[in-house]
Amino acid sequence: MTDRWREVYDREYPRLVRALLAIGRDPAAAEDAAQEAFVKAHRTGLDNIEKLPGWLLVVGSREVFRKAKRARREDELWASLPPRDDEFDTTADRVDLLAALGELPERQRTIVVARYYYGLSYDEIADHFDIKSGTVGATLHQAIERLRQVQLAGRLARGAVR
Amino acid sequence: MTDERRDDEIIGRALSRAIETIDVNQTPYERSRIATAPARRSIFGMWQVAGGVIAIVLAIAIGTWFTRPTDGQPGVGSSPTVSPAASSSFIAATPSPGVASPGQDRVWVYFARDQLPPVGAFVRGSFVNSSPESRIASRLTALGSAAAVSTGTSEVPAGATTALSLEASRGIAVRVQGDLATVEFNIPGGWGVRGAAQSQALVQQLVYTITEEPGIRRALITETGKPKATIDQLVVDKALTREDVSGYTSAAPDKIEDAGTGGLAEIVDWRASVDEVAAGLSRFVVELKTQSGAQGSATPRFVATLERPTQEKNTDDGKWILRVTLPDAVWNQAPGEAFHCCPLKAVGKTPIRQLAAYPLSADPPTGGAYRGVGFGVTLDDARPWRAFVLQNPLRLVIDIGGDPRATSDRIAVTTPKPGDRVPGGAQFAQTVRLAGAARVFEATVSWRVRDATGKVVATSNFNASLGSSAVWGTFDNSFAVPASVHGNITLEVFEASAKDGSDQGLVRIPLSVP
Repeated sequence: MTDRWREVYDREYPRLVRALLAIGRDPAAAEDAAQEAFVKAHRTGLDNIEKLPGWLLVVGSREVFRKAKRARREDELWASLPPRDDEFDTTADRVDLLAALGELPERQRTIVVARYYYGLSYDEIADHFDIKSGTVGATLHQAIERLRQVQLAGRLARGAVR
Repeated sequence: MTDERRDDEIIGRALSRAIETIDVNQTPYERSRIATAPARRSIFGMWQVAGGVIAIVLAIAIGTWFTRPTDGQPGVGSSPTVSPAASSSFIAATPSPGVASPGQDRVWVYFARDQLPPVGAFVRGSFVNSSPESRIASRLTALGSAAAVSTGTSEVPAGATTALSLEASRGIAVRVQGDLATVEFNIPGGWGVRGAAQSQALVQQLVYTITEEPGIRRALITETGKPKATIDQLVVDKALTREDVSGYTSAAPDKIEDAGTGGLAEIVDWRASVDEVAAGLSRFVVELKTQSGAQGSATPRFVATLERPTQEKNTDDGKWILRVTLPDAVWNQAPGEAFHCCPLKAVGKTPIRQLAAYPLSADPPTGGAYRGVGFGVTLDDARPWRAFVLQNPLRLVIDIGGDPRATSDRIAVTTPKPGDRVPGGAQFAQTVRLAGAARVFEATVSWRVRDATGKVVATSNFNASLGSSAVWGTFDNSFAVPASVHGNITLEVFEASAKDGSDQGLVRIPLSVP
């Protein structure tokens, strides 16, 4: 039993923390939420959970938002990232994208991460987040459009796009 | 797929890659809440080190744990260097709380600390009778009960944990042969620990607590009907000493001495501390004043040896005595009075059990000034120690232990501390304070910084105050964190071998930068 958990943990923990950090922007809160998600999964039992990755993401993101409401420290992490003049400007792009993600409403953030980072299908997202599968596509498109705008604004500001 | 959907997909993938590059603290499974809940949760939640680094360090620690050579430690045959008269005056001064006697309502047991050697403390318990076997069993039972106390004041010291469950501490059978105690645990329900960290903590606690019995230096842990114990993944199949499990990778030296330059010096003060300078570090200081006419930068003559105590009748005799003698130190007191320099202090905190001072000459002086004073530091275990002579004021400093990750046979780093978050990640390289002690060839202390992937991102060296003399040199210098390095880093400090450039006495300090 321990070995099974170890395997699941080693496989799922790193990406869960990254996802929660992208969603919530607070490293300590992301770690805490990821640990809590695992504790809840452990209590529920592996055999009682279908599609564990999505389950962990849903539980973890709820935890992140619950904590974030208590202490808003939104811009700390990304503000501390230095401006870079990398050759291809990719780091800056990444920072912009992550910052833009943080501008989205909480629910959209989680759904975007679930779709593109976790690779969940529309049906799986509908299932996990308890929304109509018809609205998943529209929500995602809306969110991505917003990301695009914010990212473009960032690149313009740096003069990367003329 | 429509153009719109394809564009969305491109942004989505870019976002996914961006998330993938986020540097996160990867708490390894051993330290996750599911592996450590509930007993060890509080201290392991604080871990801020890359999983890869921890995994490697753990693997090394476990790998070397039972195989570490102990030949550098003083043997049974080490003989005391003081006169019998002086020696007996040292031993006589021992009315202290740790003496094992039947019916006593508290007993001394050991708790585990994250990344540090175990720490001793009194818990509720009593001895049924005075046989060594019975006392060992009583200590283990009391230790098991300490874990089970759920209400009232906790018996577990702050910053420490216990991995011995109440169930595992019941039904113990003890056999004593010479300095070996074999303890058989009856554990139908298992040990109740998970992961390398907990298993190692449990073995540490058991070995230290079992060998607390005077005269016992080795502990063999077995399970009913088996010659060995299997604690989660950890197989214990041979007798272990405290030094085998203390966590230090280098052995304690058995002697450090220096001829000094200064002639006579008067003892002005002496003091000792445990865990105050740094976690896991004990410091013993003798402050001296050179007598008028002597050079300003004079240093005292001293001999420090680590010995086995001449007797082990009660627990406060300790397992080791660090004897520090200052033949040219002068203690002034009124003529005709019994020697009363530096009154006995029972320190009573792991690893220092007590301290004592004694005159090196048995005969009282006529004028009241004793020439030659010795100190005895009674220790729980033989962990790496080092000696320094510092000026302004002139003092002899003996440091014992330190964080095992920052301590080797020739390097001891006090700043930064493992787990520290240091400045960095800015646009320009940051210099960060690096302080400690070294005893390395030509005083050259080398360092390098590795990023989270293990790549070397900076390396250089500087000089300590002294080279490879018996007395250690100190350093207060800096290392560099290059711009654009973020997240978890490892600072490695070492001596570059004069022979082949290889790393000697390497310490690895896990750190993080914003």
